[in-house]
Amino acid sequence: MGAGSLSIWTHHLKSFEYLTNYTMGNYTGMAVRFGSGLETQELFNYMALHNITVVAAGPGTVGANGGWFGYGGHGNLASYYGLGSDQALSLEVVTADGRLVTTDPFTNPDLFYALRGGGAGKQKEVPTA
Amino acid sequence: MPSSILWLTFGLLIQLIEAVNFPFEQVQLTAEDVAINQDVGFGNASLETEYRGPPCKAFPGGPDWPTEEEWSAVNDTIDGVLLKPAPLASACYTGQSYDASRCRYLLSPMSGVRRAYLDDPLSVLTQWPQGTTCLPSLDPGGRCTQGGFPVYVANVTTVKHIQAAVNFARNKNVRLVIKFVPLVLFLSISAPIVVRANKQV
Repeated sequence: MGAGSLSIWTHHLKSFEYLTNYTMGNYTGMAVRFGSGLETQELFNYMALHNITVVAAGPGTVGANGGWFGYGGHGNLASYYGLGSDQALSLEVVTADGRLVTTDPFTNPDLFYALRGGGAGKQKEVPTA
Repeated sequence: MPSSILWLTFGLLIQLIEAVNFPFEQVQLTAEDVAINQDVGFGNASLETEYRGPPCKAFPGGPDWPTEEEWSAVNDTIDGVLLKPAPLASACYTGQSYDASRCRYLLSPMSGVRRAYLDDPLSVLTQWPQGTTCLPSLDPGGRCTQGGFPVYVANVTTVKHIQAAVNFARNKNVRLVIKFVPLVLFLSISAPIVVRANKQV
């Protein structure tokens, strides 16, 4: 599918941060933010380290955001907490014109909506969720 | 006015109060970078509402494929992270990449082999969405081609690298793909996306 292309490889964007108190709209509480190269198995390790649960994919090698919740984001906890795409509070994305923009329920809300289930790879590059 | 245009307009305003999370996000493409290499210039989302570019993407060997100098210049802009990798299994075939022990490793039943593909800049989990053009083989005289694998890979470590790659692909009419590994195997393709500033697919 990538014949004759330039590929953006986010494999090494593995930053992670655990936020004990984060507010977005009506939500105030624990949150995590991480780069788009983080794999689910690495997210599992951070869950153990901080004694927290993050709704995530089952297979450990699946990318922890972006492509996973771009298609909805199924996981073992979906019936209890909802899909991966229901969990995102804010997404930083590079749009097709090359700008880095913030998307959340109040900032670029229609892009924020589209990124959470509109299909992976259809919108933009997602450096951080 | 389509809503997609609206949010892009918002996006431009938001630039003034951008929220930055991680150090790698603070390194962004600047006007100075663009002044040095105009191929990585930003798009203007507010100018056009209809695509008026070429009907087809540039392709290697074609007249509009960027020159070596242009690829080299964008590599300079992105701090040298541009890769031009041969397929992983090219280690099994006669040529520059031939490496008998590496090939034996790729043919071995060890579980780590899967990891080698996950950590490879070109491969996704399966070969067939990329054309199955370079499988590990005991026959070094066989055929291994780039096939559906990308030609260049930007091994990005900052937002600046992403921005420059997106802009270069858009400005030079080059196909852009983003490697990802989603949950369902048959979706493990490096999805081709259309990059243009005024149309959000």
